[in-house]
Amino acid sequence: MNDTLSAECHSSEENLATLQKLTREYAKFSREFAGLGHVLGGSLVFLLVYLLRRDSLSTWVGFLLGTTPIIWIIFKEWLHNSYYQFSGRVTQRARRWHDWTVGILAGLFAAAIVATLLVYRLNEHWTWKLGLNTAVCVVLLIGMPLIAWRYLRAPYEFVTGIFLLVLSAFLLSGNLQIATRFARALGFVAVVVAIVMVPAGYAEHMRFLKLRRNMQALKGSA
Amino acid sequence: MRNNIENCMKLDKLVHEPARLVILTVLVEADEMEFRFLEEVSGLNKGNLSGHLSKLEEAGYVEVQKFFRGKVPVTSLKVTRAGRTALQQYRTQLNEVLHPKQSVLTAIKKQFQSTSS
Repeated sequence: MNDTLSAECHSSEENLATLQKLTREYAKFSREFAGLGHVLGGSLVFLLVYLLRRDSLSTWVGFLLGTTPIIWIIFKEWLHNSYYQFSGRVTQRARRWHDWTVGILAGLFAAAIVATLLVYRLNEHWTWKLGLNTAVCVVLLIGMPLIAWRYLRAPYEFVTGIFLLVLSAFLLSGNLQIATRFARALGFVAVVVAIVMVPAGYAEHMRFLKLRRNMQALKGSA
Repeated sequence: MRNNIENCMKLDKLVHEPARLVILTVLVEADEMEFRFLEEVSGLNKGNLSGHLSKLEEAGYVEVQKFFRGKVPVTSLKVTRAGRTALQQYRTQLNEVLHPKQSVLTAIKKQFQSTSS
């Protein structure tokens, strides 16, 4: 009798394990897996780094390019909240590493801002007037840790996202030269991450298609 | 044998019910979950699922939040710490009932390890 009970429990144990795995996989698409979002983000890094290596860009083209990272984040969030969560939202349990990295990032940004202000003051170049352009740049840079905490949850998108948003801050404020210098100095790091990010995003999307098929099969069998 | 029966009696009846076991098992895998997903995955109908969730909520195992997203009503579910502990305890107790020899061996191993260290 104990064996029969044991066998029944094992079969239901297997079913429960399948349900657990399916839920875990589905929940990953709420935070960690961005699928097509990663493909688009990686491609955007290639495009921006390539275009900013050319000197013939006008300020308006720069401004237009500056909006692309924001469009990418909006698209990525739509994927996380609607397309990949087609059967209702299931939020993945938060990862502790993310809070730590955002904390370190906030510290780095605060230190960089304070250092810049000190250098300006010591060199008596305190002629910086806060126009609309500069205000956009400052707001984006100060808000960066918050944006990273809220929207850049996977390791790949954290690195490329910060790179793209800093570029966006410079381009939207009309600082094309600084954006070009920044892209030339740190572009290779973002490109290396993007090389991994694009195929990883494609693989995640394939996993999603498989998951959707499995869920449909589960629905059909019920 | 008597020990095994006693262990069987100790099982949390609220968690032991198959539908509620499925609900808790699925819920622990996420931080928060919408009712719609649980309905689809568990294969239970709305009425049944609501009934079981009410019982789990009364026991303090699950938190239920109802709100509107735009004009659409949404029910969000979250397993509490008590719910997680209850499920963990249930699994351990069931394992002791189904594999009594193994659990005795584990206990001996643990004792041996603690005395040797």
